[in-house]
Amino acid sequence: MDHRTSDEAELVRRVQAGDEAAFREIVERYQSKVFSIIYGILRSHNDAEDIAQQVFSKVYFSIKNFDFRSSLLTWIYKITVNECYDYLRKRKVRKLVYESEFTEDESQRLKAGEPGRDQAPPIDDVLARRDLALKLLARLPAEERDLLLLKEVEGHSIEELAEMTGINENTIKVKLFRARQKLFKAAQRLARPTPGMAAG
Amino acid sequence: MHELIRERLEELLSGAPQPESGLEQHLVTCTECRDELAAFRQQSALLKTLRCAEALSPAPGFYARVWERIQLQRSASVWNALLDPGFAWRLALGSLAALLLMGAFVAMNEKAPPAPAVTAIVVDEQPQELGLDPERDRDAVLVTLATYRE
Ligand SMILES: [Zn+2]
Repeated sequence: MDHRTSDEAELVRRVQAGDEAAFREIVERYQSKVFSIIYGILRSHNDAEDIAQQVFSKVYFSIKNFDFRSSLLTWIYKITVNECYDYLRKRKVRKLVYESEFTEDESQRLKAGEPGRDQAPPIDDVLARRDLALKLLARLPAEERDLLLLKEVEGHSIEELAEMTGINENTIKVKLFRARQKLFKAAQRLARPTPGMAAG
Repeated sequence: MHELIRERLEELLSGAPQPESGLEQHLVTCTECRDELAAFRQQSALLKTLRCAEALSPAPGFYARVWERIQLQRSASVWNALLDPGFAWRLALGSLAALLLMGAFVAMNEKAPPAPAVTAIVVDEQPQELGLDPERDRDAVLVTLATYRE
């Protein structure tokens, strides 16, 4: 699919030419999607409003650089996820310290998730699992992180991803595999108990 | 992970309803692939916790708030540019250069003999000198424009 000929492309060109009504149309078309992405990641309605405003402000100021290689939604999705991670880095909400090692509790979870262990305890703390997912994803390059999110969280198929990003299906598969491996290795590395928490 | 499984990994993780018998057979016999696939399945489940099940929409007036923010950021960026020390330095240098150029121009014009500055423009069959009578000059230009058809 050519992203330069869709009605969406027409809308983008109008915004690039300074048409404010077209920008409003973009905001209204994608605001719900952007809110859902942010809420999925942060689970906070208050922060969602602030970040969504920032997302569309970024869209406004950088749309002149939009090159039609991906769909507009894919581009907005990337900006949104980036803003969420920016927010997490700045606020370190719920004590998510990305540069730090994992907590003992998280190490336990990761060890429990190691392959070959049939008796993995059920992890019912959804919030903690979400934090863990975010923490692991923070260790991936943005492109791989966004692809994994589009596949696993947004539920897009490989064909859809190829169409959305303008990257061919095989390359998408290779990138996804690499991302999954990195995520797995990051989990393994960080799950290894540090000397202070080895006992027990 | 072996090629056979890696190539079909995304399908397997998406819960392909019936993995082909070849794949199934390999997974039964190859511990490495089986374990890695199990780990990737757990990872996939972990990532799915970031899904947002609800359809959300912003509070009314969202666009107006976005637009307000854009205006604020726009004026802030103008001020930032003006207050940027690098910009101030470039502005000072630029002004100095402009002053020097103007000075040099004035000095040269004072020394030079009165130059026929407009003769270069007079290229057609109008021998009269332009620049002496504005009224006549305008007529000359209008005539030129009006006759310029071919
Ligand atoms: Zn194998």
